[in-house]
Amino acid sequence: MLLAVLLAAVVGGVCGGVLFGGSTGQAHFQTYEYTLKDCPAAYKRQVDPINIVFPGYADGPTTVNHIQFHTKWDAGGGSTQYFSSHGSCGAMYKQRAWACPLGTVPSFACDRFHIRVRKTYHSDGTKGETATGDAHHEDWVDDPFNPGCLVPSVIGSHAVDKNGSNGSGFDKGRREMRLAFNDGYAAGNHWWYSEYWNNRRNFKQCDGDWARSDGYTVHIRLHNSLH
Amino acid sequence: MKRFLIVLVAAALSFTLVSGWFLVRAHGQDATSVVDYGASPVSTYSVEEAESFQGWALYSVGTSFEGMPLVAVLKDPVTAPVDPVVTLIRPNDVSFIYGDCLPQDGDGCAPPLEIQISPSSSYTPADIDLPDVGRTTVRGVEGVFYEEGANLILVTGSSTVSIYGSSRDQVLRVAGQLRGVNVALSVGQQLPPPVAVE
Repeated sequence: MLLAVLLAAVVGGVCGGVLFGGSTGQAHFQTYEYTLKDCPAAYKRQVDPINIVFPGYADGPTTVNHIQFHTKWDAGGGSTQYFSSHGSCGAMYKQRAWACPLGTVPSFACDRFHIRVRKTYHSDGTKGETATGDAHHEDWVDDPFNPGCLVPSVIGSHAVDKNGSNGSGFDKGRREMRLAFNDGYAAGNHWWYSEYWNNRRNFKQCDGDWARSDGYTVHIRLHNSLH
Repeated sequence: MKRFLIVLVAAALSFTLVSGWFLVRAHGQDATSVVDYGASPVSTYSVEEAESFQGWALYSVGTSFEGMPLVAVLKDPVTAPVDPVVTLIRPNDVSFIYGDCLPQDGDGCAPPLEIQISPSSSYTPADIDLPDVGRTTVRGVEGVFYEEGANLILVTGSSTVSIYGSSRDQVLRVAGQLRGVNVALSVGQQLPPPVAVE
């Protein structure tokens, strides 16, 4: 009897591992649908919708290496945001953005594409190591007619492109990322697909305009070698 | 000395007027909103336009909800998506936003409550590729929770009502207070059952 119970436990464990990714290191993919101002995850801390997922081999260094190589977004500058997955919340790994023209003061004060990324808490049995990001295009706003962008900093602030008939800055940033990973060189290495998450909450920007995602996330597979 | 004082007073007055003009122009009301919530939320639609809207049925909770005023009404359909191979479901909705928030450090912010109404021909929970986090029945129709319960989606009549709030309890209270904007439906009435969409 004891042997039967042990056997059942072993078989059950193996099957569970196959079906669900098994161990704590191979749980299913899960993420909070927005980046955060701070931890823990809650609506009042939401900042940007998650609209990019990197499956495959998306540890922090590999993810940033691939982003820089394919997009040429090789500058920094921007606030620290937080990500949550499986109830584990922490600061972003890094951020990457278009470099502003030489002589720009401060160095990030320009219209640009921008993304923050962080590896999710668990690997996934099918997707592998995953990281998430908030790709977007944002404008630099520093005119006195938008004093909301001058508070608390007097130099100005970024605002994600507002909603329009083409979508918002979130949709533009995601498209830019997708296309960069699917140029001639990368095609085949970085297959992609999309999922509809409906994370379409509107976010107020410093100029009073609103930006929301169209609710889609694009998943771009990363391979396990650095560029 | 007298001339100096006059110039000084005039300069101070001018500064006050110009500063006040900038603030009032940007915020529409008073300078306190600068401290509290930054720029005033911009509306791209209005309650009056929503009341006469001829498309799908719209629902809101009136001019305020639990002390949070209606701060913006939005209608920004995506008709020519920047990435059409991805954006198969094109956002086409009217949003009623309650309560304000303060964007800081170059980041956007989430208002406390948004009621976003789309035609059910646009999408329903069946189109969402994430697992729901619970289901319930609200005023006769099924409600599906997402985003750790802070998002409740109802399909009623020919509309999909997506309530983005702060908690499961709050979005349920919102659903209980929904009333028609361009259709006759009062609080306490059952919501119309979903209409089959081809």
